[in-house]
Amino acid sequence: MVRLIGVVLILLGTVGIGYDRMRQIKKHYEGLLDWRECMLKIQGDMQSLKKPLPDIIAELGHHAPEAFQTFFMQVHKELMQYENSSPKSCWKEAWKSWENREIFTKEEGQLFLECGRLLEQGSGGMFEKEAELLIERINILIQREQTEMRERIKVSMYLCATAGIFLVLILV
Amino acid sequence: MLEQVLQIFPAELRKMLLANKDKLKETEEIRIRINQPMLLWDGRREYFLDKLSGRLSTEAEGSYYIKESDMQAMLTFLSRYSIYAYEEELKSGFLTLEGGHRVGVTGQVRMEGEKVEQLAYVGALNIRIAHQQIGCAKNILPFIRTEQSVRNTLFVSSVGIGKTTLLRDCIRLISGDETSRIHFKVGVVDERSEIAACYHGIPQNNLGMRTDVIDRCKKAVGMRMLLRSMSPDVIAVDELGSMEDFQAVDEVLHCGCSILGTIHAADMLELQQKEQLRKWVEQEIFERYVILKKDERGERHFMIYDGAWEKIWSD
Repeated sequence: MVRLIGVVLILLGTVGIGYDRMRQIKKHYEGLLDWRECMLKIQGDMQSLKKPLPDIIAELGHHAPEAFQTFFMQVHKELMQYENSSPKSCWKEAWKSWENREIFTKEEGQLFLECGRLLEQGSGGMFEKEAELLIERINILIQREQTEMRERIKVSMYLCATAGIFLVLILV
Repeated sequence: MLEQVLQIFPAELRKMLLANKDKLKETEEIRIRINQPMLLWDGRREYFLDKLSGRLSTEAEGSYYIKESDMQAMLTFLSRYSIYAYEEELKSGFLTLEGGHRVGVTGQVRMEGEKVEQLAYVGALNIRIAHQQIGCAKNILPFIRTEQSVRNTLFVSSVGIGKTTLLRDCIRLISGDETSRIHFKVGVVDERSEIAACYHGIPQNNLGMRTDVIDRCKKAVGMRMLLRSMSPDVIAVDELGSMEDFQAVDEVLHCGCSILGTIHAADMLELQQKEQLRKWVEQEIFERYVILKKDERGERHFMIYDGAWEKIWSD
C-alpha cells in the first residue's frame, strides 16, 4: 500500500513538474506577444496619434499586460524626473530595476533593451523604418517560439513522465 | 506654478535657477539663445545667471552661456520627449506649457511655398511666464457691463501694455463664479492661446465658470463656430486686425451677441486711422473704448471713452 502511494506520488510529482514547465513555456510565449503589443501601441500612438511619449507610457503603465505594467510605470517615473534628455536611457534605467525581466531569454532581453530606441525622436522616415525593424525582429522571435513551443512542451512532458517511470522502477 | 517652467531646463541649469526662486517669481520673460547668456526680464531690468555663483546678477560678465546641448535638452523636455507631437505648434512659433506659460521658438525654418514646412533648427527660446492678474479689470467693469447686457468694448493699447491681461480679467468677471449675481455666457476665440492659455484643450487661466474656449482657431472661423454651437451672450477675441475678422464681428453683432475685443493702437488718434473701424465708429457700434497706457514707472493707466469718443473715465 505504501509502495503504491509512493509510486502515485512520484508520478504525480514528475507530471506536475512537466506541467509547470509547460506553463512556463506558454507564459514565455505570451510574454513575447504582450511585448509586441506594447511596442505596436507605442509606435502607433507616436506615429498616427502623435501623442506625447509620457502620455503613451503612462497609459501602458495602467493598461499594458500585467507583466509589463510595473516596467512602464518605472519608465514613466524616469521620464517625469526630467533628469535625462534621452528616453532610451530612461528605458534602460527602468529595465535595470524591473523584476519581471526573467520572462525573457538573454537574447530577447537584449532586444527589449534595444527597443528603448523606439522612444528616441528619429526624423520622419528614419524613425518609421527603425520601429518597423525592431517590431519585425520581435515577430521573428514570436514565430520561432511558436514553431518550437509545441516540440518543447512535448519533450518536457515526455522527459518528466519518463523520469517519473524510471524513478518508480528504481525505487520499486 | 514655476515648476512647469523649471522642468524644461537641463538639470544643471534648473538647480541654478531654483537657487533664485524668489527672483524667478517676479520674472516675466526668460530669453535663451545658443552661444549667448541667458537673460531674465522682470519688467524693469535684465538679469544674467552668474556661472560661478549661480546667482542672478545685473552684470553680464561671467554669466552662463547657453550651449547647443542645453538647447537640445530644453527642446526635448519642452516637447515632453516628443517633438513629433508638437510639430504644428513649432511651425506656428510657440508652445504653451502646463500652467499657461508660453514658449516662443525661433530658428531656421524650411518653407514650402508660403507655408512653414518645418522648424529645422531651433536657435532661441523666449519663455513668457504667465502671471494672471486677477482683479485688474474690477474698476472698469461697471463701465462695460450692465445688469442686462455687456457693452461692445474695444481694449486699445500698443504691444506689451496689458490689453490681453485686461481682456482676460474682464472675461472672468463677466462670466462670473458661484457667487456672482450678474453673469453672462462668454465664448472666447483664442487664436494664439494667449487669453486662456489652453494646454491640451483645457484653459490654464481662470476665465470664469461660464466661458467656452475655442483654442488656436482663426478668429473669423471660431466666432462663427461659437455662434452656431454655444449660444454665447458675449464673444471675446484678441487682436482684431484683418478684414475677415471685422466681417465676422459684424455677423456676431447681427446675431445679438456682444463683442469684447482688443486692437493694436497707441491712442485714439492712431485708432482713428484704422480704415476697417470707420464704419463702426460712425454707427457707434462699439460703446466703450478702453485705452491702456504705461507711465515711466511702469504703472498701467486706463482711460475709457464712449461710442461718441467722449472720455468718460480715467484713473
